[in-house]
Amino acid sequence: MKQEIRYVVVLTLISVVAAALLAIVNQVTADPIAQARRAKTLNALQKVLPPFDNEPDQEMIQVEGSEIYPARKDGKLVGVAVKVTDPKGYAGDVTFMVGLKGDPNAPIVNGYDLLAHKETPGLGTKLADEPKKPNAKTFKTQFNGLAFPADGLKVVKDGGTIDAITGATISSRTATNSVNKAVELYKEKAAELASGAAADPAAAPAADPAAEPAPAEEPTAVPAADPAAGSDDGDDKVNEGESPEGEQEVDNV
Amino acid sequence: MSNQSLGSVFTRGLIKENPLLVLLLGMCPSLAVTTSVMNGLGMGVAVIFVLMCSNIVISLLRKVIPSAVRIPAFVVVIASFVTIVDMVMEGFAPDLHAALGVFIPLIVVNCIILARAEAFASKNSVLASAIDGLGMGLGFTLALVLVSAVREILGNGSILGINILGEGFAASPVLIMILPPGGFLTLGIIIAIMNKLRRA
Repeated sequence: MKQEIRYVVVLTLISVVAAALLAIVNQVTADPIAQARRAKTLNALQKVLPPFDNEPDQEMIQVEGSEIYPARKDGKLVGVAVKVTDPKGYAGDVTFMVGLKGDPNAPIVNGYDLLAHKETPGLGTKLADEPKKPNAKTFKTQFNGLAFPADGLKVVKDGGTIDAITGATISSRTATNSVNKAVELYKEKAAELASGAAADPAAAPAADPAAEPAPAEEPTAVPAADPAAGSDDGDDKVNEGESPEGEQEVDNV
Repeated sequence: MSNQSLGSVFTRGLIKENPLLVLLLGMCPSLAVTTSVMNGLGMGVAVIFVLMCSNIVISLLRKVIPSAVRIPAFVVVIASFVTIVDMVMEGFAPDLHAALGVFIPLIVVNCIILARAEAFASKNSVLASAIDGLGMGLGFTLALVLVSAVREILGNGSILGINILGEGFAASPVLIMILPPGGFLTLGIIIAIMNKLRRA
């Protein structure tokens, strides 16, 4: 009996000391960890957005697991970055930061940054390859300054215009699907994003971007967006409904 | 055990009882992270730290911990140090942390660490245990660097991210070497060579 009590006391003491030590280390590292995570986001934003002077991560809007970061310069919306996770990667989720600018109904893709993935090294990981020389081409550079087509981006194999990475068509599709999703969210939230600027007192003179929300109410490419505008549940359905639709198109081609 | 010189305790882990290539411990993380030399080094340094700290603490507590509950006690000590490494690395070396990913928390279940705690630290003095941890950790790191160097050179044409085999090779490297089969092939061949050398 005495022996059992000793087991309990020793194990408890070890656990208490370990917990106290971890609490101290957590105190010390919590800030650097938060900063490192924020720096990662800001770094990705700078890569995919035109120059901005606000703090997009402070104005971030969350929608259905995606995050929308509005970028403003002098209070005017110059672009948005959308963090999208596509579950259909070759080996699970692939997360992109997609940069968009211009009219939400005919946006221009400013580029993307690969944030997280489990793709095959040497094949799917080419999603992240930067050109080694200026003017050289990689999969990624196809998205820089690309005018978004009305019927969405597709890889060549599916009847689109994006050259897939050799041996990594599935990984390549995650990029086109993510950009499509980002554009969809940009359209959906265009009014909200532009009005964010109006709420900012410094941005009061920037009344012209308010013209943007108007066309957003009569979208051509997203027929189901109108009834969805009211409720969050509706939003979900719209998106679930749309991705299989996209799939069918792919299959038919 | 206790009559061994500290020098032999240290060098034993490097070659003669190399944890990865001779004792064949810690194979799972070794196969997974050795796709580049940087990852191999980072993993090795993390293991050295955890192994030394856990060996020291377990050696200090070796007379306090009843043998019936020694395994849970060891695991708590090891897990604490691994969590510390995980948090410190995420805060101060986020890129390395992202590259090593899930394998940092998995150091907890790396057999080398529990094996050294059980076989050495729980029976030897603090100084000898610290040196054993350092030697075994360095041996593990050397083995990881060796495996990852072979894989990175053949599978990516580079070493530490610097291209050494020319543009032509880098455009179409032996991709399989940085995929999982390449890990098994490389480790198997290196172990075979080690066995041959040790018997000669």
